[in-house]
Amino acid sequence: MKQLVLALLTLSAPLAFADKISDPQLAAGLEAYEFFCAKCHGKDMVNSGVSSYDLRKFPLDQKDRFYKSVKEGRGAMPAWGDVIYPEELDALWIYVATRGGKEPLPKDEASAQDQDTSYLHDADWVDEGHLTACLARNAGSISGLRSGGGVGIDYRVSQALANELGLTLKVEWFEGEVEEDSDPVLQTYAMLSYPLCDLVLSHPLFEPSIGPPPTTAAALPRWYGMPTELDTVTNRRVSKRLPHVTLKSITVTKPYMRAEIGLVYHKDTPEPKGLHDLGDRRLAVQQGTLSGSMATMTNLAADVVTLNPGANFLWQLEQGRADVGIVDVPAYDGHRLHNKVTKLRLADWRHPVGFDIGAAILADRPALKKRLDKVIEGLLGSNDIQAMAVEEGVTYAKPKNAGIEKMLTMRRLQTITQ
Amino acid sequence: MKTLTLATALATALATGLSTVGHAQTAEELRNDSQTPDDVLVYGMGYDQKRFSALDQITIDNVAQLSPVWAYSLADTRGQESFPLIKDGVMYVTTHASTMAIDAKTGRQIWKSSVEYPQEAPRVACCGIVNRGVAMLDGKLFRTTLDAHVISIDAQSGEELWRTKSIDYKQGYSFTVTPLIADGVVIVGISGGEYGIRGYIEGYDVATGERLWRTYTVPAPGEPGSDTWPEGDAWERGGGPGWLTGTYDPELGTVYWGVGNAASWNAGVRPGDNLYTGSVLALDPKSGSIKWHYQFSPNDPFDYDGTNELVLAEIDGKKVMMQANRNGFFYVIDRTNGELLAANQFVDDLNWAEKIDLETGRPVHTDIYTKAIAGEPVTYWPSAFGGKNWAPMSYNPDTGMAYVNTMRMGMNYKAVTPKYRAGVFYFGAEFSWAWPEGHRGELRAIEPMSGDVKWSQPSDIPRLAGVLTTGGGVLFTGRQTGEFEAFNTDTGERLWSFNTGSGIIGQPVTWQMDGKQYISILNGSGGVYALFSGDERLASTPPGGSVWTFALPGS
Repeated sequence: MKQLVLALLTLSAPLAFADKISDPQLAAGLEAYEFFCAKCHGKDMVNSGVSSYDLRKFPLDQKDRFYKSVKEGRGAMPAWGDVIYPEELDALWIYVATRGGKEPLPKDEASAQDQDTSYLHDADWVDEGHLTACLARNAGSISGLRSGGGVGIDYRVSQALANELGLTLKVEWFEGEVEEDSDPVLQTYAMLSYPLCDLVLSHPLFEPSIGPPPTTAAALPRWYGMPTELDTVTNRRVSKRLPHVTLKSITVTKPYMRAEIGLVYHKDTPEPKGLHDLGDRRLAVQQGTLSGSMATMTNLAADVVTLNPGANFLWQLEQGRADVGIVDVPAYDGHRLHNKVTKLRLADWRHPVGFDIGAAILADRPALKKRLDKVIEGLLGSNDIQAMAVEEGVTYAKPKNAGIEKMLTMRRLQTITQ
Repeated sequence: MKTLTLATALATALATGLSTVGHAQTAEELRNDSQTPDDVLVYGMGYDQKRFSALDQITIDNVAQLSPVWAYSLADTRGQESFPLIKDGVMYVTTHASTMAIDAKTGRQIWKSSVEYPQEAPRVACCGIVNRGVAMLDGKLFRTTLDAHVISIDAQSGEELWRTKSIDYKQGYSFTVTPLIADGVVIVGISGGEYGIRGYIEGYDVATGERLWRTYTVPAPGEPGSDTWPEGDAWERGGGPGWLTGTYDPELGTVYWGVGNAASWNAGVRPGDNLYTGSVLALDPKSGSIKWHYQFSPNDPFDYDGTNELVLAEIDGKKVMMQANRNGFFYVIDRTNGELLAANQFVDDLNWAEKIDLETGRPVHTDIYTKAIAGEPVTYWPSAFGGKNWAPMSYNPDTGMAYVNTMRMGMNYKAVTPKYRAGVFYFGAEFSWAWPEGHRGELRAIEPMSGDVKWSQPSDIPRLAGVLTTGGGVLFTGRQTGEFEAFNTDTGERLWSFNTGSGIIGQPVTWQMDGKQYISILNGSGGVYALFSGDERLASTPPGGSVWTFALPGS
């Protein structure tokens, strides 16, 4: 059945091309146009001009203005710089500049276009004079991509590291929302091995997460600006399928903060002093998470409810699904960032299990590690990171600096917990 | 230091006390809004949103003499849909970017405060950068912002009193709704049905802006109604916005709120009824809990929002709620229990359902629906604009008729696999308009229980303005080409019109001051049709909004 479908698709593909656009960049431009622009500027760029600029009249010698308007917005035009990929914008310009494929490209554009293959990723680069950090695109108070640059504690720490090293910071923003079959640790191995960046932040000083790779190869996450290719079946531009990256050994710098697990409670109720202080209050735990296992293995008298993990967890608490929840502190920070009026509060109590957090780098870059370690020490000593944390709304905990945390066994967890 | 704080607190208390004298406006006044013609305090001219005023100074005999008294520039080129409130001689209106208090007699600005939002925010508003107005209680105004905040403003000074972020707009969420004040709670519904949001309605504390409750319109797994969604994560992006203001029955202690379309439009990939999309929810205003629901459009592939205004009235001794739904049927529902009393087709061209079965309350689908669900190309009527779009109708208790700006368009449609990127359109369908021969809209007088159309006034470009009827037998509405119009409610005869210079998609109101009846309307081209239709005939009506106020000449 699957083969039949594939055969049908392959057969119908040339037909679809015949009355559409054969040039792949133009096709990509049309797709970007329909995805981002058509709702205001009209199908085929036809609109009354009442509500939106008539793109059919866009001056072809003002490519820079076009890019600037799309990225930063202008008047009624919203800014798209943080969601449109650079190659989508390039393709969009081709679409608009050719009046939807009806006219040839302006002359100097056409010749420039022939040479422009720069969006294809060159695996050999690590820019001179740059420190390149991989940061998650949408990780609440930890890191986030905004039109003006970035936000979050990891972004700020990266900036400080680059400054101290006399380098310019470059960020590769990757999709932090992990798909079901992917593993964030393997993705870190892949990003460093590719290499996409020099360092990946928010990496735990945890034995199973560093050292020689656990498997030989792994997939990269999607990232902002990743190369795309034309899918010849659907005639759509899609993220280029990159081969799995052969993994190298990684290590981690000195820690710059500590990730902890705490309890959240409703503000009008007494602050819980720990897992044993819940009385008959209902405790919510996230299914399949470390905090969840730890809470359930503590012999509790409390009523425990297991909820799905993710951002919705705290919302369910907000709505009263439980009285108290056990959660990693950054998740609470993220929730508070998005919900100024939250009824939830974070108790002072912390679970004894936590992780020091540093930056992952390739193990064969000892010189870089040495320099980063020194800078981190300096930043911690001058309380710079704490100050950044306050500004970014992060509940900051200093690293314990007790070295690399060993593999956690259930038995060990029990010992620590009790 | 302590003394200073105390002094400041005292000063604040005094100032608040003073402002309460001038603008006292209590919950009781809100309840009685439709009986007090000197003011307009509630969206829709009363909690029942009948958009009817008993004022009868302007009649079918003298309306032709109606003249502008003043106009006030909104200094804005977006579409203007704000519902003006009037209290003690002051009018309060909004645009997406500002809130204004205007002297209702002279049109002079008293104050204007701007609403800032990020340059990225407009991209998450599907259907026009608009705001539909303020709510008011105890000298405070309440409004929403495009970047998903709810704010409170001092009615006397225009100063912001509190500002609460509802959610991260970049995920596709926005506000255009006018809040509803019910039982002391500020109630709002989120927009974003075309962006893969999970819709909700929320209640905020009047004084502090603290969120008191949030009721999701799409249940999470395990919650009531979740069995109407497939397993998996479809519910997380299931849509169900609540972008138009609900109605409120203080006697029953119930708020009625319409829920929008399911997302993406591709209904084939979310088998099940998909509660509570395309529904009305009866809510407890204090807690947000759902008392009952009725679903208009189960497993909807056509963008048939259930958000249109839910007008409250008494018909045949029954407390009813009525809605001219996007899907082309006019529903009358017993508002004490959600029982369906009538559901008649109110547009001529409708092919997705044969009828609504009064026994089951469910549509009897045609093969157009079946094919659409299966991913086959179809042309369905009415289009995603609906048989009626958001523009609110009037129910006139004198005539027992509803007056509705209807639309007449179909849609060529094919469901495709949706492509999700946060904050960008999430349609799951390819579509284009199927234009009819001739006119694209009709102003219709509809009998709610039978669906009979008493008269009809066609227009080439559909009217997208609200409708107002009065005790003088006059109906007011407007055109997207700028004409503000008056009709004879009984016969449909057009009695008067005035070209305001920019398209009208706003909401007419009427009130009385010093013994004189006034009519006000915002003009300003924009909104969903101007944006999506590509109708180049609108090119000769420029944007640029104003408030226009009319009255009969002489004192």
